[in-house]
Amino acid sequence: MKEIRLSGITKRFGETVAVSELNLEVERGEFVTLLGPSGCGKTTTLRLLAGFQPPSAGFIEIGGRVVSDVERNIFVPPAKRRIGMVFQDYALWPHMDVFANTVYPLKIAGVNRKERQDRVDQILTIVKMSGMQKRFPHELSGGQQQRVALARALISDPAVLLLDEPLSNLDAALRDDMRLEIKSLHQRLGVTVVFVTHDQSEAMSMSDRIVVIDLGRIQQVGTPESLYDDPQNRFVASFIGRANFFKVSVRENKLMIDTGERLVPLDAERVTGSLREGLGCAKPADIRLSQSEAAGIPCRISNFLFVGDHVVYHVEIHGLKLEVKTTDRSFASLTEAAVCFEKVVLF
Amino acid sequence: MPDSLRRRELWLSKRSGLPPLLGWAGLIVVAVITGYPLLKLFLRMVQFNGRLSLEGFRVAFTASRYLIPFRNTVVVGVSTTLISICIGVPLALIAGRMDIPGGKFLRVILMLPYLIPGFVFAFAWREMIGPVGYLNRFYMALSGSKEPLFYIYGPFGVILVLAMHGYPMVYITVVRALQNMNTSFEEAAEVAGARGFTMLRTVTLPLMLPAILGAALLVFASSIANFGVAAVLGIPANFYVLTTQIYATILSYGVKNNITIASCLSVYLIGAGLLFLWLQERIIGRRRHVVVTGKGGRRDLLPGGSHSWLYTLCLGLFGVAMVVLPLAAILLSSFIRAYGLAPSLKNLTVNHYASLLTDTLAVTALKNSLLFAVVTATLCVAIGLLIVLITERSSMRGRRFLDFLATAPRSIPGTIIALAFIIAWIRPIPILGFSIYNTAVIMILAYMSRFLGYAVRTLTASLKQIALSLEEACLISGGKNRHRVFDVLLPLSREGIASGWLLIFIPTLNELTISILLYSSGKETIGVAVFSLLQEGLIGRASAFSIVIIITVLLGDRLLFLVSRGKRSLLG
Repeated sequence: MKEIRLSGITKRFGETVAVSELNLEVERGEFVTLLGPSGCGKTTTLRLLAGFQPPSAGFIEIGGRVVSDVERNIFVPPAKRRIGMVFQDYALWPHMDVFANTVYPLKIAGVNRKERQDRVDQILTIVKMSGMQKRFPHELSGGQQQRVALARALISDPAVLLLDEPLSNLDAALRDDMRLEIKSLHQRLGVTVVFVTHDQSEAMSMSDRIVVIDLGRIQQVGTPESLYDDPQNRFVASFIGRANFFKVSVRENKLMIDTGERLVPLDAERVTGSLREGLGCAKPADIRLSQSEAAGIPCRISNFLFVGDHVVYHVEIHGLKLEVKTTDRSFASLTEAAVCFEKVVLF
Repeated sequence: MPDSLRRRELWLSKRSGLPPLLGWAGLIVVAVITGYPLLKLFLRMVQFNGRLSLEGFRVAFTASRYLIPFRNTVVVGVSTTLISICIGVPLALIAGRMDIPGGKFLRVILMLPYLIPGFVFAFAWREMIGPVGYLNRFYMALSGSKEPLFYIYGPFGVILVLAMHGYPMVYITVVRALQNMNTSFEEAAEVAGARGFTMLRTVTLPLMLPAILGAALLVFASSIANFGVAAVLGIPANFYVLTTQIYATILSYGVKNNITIASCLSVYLIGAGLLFLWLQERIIGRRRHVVVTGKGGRRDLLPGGSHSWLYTLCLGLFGVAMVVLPLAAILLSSFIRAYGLAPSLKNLTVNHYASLLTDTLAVTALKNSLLFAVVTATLCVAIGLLIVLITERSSMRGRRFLDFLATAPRSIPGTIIALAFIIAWIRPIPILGFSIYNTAVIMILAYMSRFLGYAVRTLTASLKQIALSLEEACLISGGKNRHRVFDVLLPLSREGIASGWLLIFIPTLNELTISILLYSSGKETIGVAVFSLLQEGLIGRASAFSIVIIITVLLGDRLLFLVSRGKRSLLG
């Protein structure tokens, strides 16, 4: 069952095209993340979904109902779309306390007083904010404000929950807690979630599916694993985790790495993708270092960074600089070693 | 996404947008209180002897009796501006920037003249160095001379008192610019070896130049638009500037085509006002980019150093001579039994104050002013809100023009607004068949025309500070536009609403310029009453009234301090 359908969605602001020909379907109960750098169009897409703006072309369906269609001149305002939303700055009304903020959607919907109180009690318990109903936003920590914003977004039992970079204003430790919290809320309530972020690790750890967007276009859609393992273009490969890129060419039916100084045969254990742009890509963790030169391509170790649970080595093959990630610290004292590619993706 | 687009798109389509009816209402009000009267004023300029003609301009621009006020206005404007800069800039560099003994108290004293209405301060100066002012009498008694030491009437007095009004504007603008200046500019100069006066000359003052220019424009514009000071100190010496000449021409019922000539004379001041608006836009626009750049710490007050007591002494003497003594003079006059009596204990009385509560004119004036001020401030804030919703949150066509029309009268002298109202509303309104001339309605509408811009500016600032997500959160919670306005926008702009109300209430309460031309019997205001009492020579009562005015403006400033949490108060 599709909860959300975006078809041919385009949004222009004057001359600039923020979102271009975007097609996407989201299953009921799915957790989908829109991932991309700032200005890529992900927030615009979310706002089109929320109904803060009409698209310039295309149509949007939520729960099987058309909420926005340029051709048929249909536009359902945000209030009637059965969505909840958490804003990047939480957008808690500073002149209302926690209770008043949370109950607001019910008040507008005309729910009676008794039921309002019950539902506020219930939802605040779910987000672990019970007993704080009389506090004002400025008396709450960032994490607590976040919980209240979630409670307000969820109180009228929306079909879809939109989250606009909700974790970007929290400090690192709290961010990890809230990731788990949001994920378990999603599992518990079964609500469909559309999450917007520019942080790939956030996207990887929380989502059922990730939609990578750049320059207003979808670059790739897939599960976190498939994006990591099989990036379909250079942008996705560079945006999901770190990646080494190098020139690759074919000589006498063999793949060669062009280091800039010379051509070196590319002997990888696994090669995927097809050579279109003449580029190869290897994740730092997909390159192995060994001490015997026979095991691979000879290299010079120019630098190393000790990060704690792993080490990042900077190595050089005839002028080509590569990053290698491993748990093996023994190369720190060496200047010469050999590299071996475990996996290379070609573009 | 551009924020401005986000704002516009918030009101979306017809279905959830601002009801067109409200948009029209805003437009109609502004058309009635500003657009129509100004249009009638312009049309009147080309009517001479009941025919279409440019004769009015010829008379206004060539007859010597109208050329002299023009020349006087230029002289007054330029001298006032120069003096204000010469006082205001050093004052800002010393009192606004250095930690000197008694600095806080000195700042309050030195800012005081700005709060006090011009005609009241002119009157206070008259009590000090007028023909029978205390200082002149003291000097004559001491020296046996028959001639007073100072002669306040004429250009000297007008320029002096206007400059007392002008230098605080310079001070405020320059201090604000100094506070916003990136401290690293000066720090870099210090590192490069510049110190003291060299740094001031080569770095600080050049950086302050846009601010000083802006302030100069402001002082020039407000001094050529001033009526009260020129009326109290200029007219007795037959020294007319454009505003007082227009006033006198309107009242010259015997002169043929007097209203047309007065309208044509207005062209100078309207032109200057529009030029001012344009220049201000350009200078402020530039300043935003030059000085008020992000990083760099805000500087605390600099240590005064070894000269700090000298500074305090100089500023203290200046404050006493220019502010304290005139105010003391008017205070004294308000307690003297009969005008001209020596200020000794047996000549003192509180009768003048008591008469404010019994005298018909005084009581009427107090009641009227209070009523007019409450109504004007309330209507201005309500209409201002409507206009700001249109200009800030809708994509209605012509919203920029609406904003311009609503705020432009801030740079048009009150005298001209009153003139435009006389021309527009003296005849019965077509269809309705009655005239609002000689009623309270015309006065309130004219006040609104003059002060609506204050509400619009304050509320615009307020609305710009409200994060858009707060409104979006309301919409997504199921709210309609009315919820957005009443549950989110209004509660969050309480401070702007209260400040805007006070910023209009206080000047309306003490308004003289418009009132003196539009009042009718029974509709006298405080300003009119003081002006009439002065002309009738009832100095004691006029002084007592003036003291009441001074107390209200001080209270008003305190209230403003409370509601804006210190932001909008002048005295801090």
